[in-house]
Amino acid sequence: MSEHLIISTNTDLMRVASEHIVFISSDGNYSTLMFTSGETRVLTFQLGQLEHQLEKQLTNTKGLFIRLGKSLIVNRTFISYINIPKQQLVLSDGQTISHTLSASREVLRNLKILIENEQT
Amino acid sequence: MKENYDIEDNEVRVVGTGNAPDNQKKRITAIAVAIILVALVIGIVVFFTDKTTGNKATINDTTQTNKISNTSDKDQTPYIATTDTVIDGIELQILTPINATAELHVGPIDTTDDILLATQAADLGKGKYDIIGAFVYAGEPLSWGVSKKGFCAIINDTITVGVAENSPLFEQATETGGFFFRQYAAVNNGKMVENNPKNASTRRALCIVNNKVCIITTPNRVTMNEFSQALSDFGTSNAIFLVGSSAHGWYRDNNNKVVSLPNNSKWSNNLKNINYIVFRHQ
Repeated sequence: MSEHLIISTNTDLMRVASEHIVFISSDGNYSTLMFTSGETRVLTFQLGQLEHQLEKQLTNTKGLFIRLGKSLIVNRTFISYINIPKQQLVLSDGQTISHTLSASREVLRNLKILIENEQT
Repeated sequence: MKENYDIEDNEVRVVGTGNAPDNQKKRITAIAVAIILVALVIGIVVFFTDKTTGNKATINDTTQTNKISNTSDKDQTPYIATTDTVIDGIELQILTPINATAELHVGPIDTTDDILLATQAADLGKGKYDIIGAFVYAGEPLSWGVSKKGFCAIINDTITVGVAENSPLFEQATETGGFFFRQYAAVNNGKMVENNPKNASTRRALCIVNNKVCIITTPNRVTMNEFSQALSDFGTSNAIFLVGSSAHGWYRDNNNKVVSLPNNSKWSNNLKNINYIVFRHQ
């Protein structure tokens, strides 16, 4: 059974299945969630606050998300391609979803090592 | 919720596996120390403050909301009311839209539309000319960030001008098809807001005066602080700067003739991200 992330404010509530989140990007005090449907939702939360909620609420799917530096959280299910020189990270399900993100070479190098180490 | 999880620029960590830094105790200690220090400072300030003067207004996170309709006679044809005055030696031209609808416009604009007033809103960055600061166009966020604390939100015919680092109106604008942009704050709760840029230039601002929304311009080359002080002395309750200098902008006078705002230039009107606050016929 899938787990849901719930983000609640004084005026509204967002509830989304964890596997439907492709990535979360941050720009200062705002965070944007990209869903598998292609829709986005902007929240007035910092990325660290959302990371805290992911950790607190998603107890059965620990490790589903990976924090990359100060501005990205990605769903590891969709990591399909890393190119360090081009600073490219492609998140895709091989079918309808494909997002090409940019990240620092050092972050991508560390992500590559993390995935390689988990594989062995 | 507080920011609990610091991370380095190049750090990578798996969420939920306990490898985030556990600073709970340190944090609690730091918060306790901070609370004690703040209480001490407040105590000292209160002790030494003359209570009879009582000027305790704070300038953070306050907003002022106005319906755009600036008149009670709703059958009246929309127009731009103009007034000129001089405050602190600075010429001010006050343009007050009556019975007009406000919205943002992105991209080149021309004067053949039924626009009563248009003037550039959010600044563009050098180089790529991206929009600086959070910007929402008809519910679609085009830019993020809090580079400037002043903001304007236009949501359901209500325009809000204020100062806040983190305004829920950004999110609300995305959910309601509204508009939002950021700019330097000029006046907050009637008090001028100091800004760092010290150069002199022609200035424009989106203001709330006597609960009415208006655009105030000056043909004088003045610093941001001089302009803010003049706006404050004029009786503006809240104001944010608009793009000044040679920004593109105009209004229609009573004869429907297009009148350029001071120092108007069209050079930037071809930029993809050029953006305007416009007042149209309802």
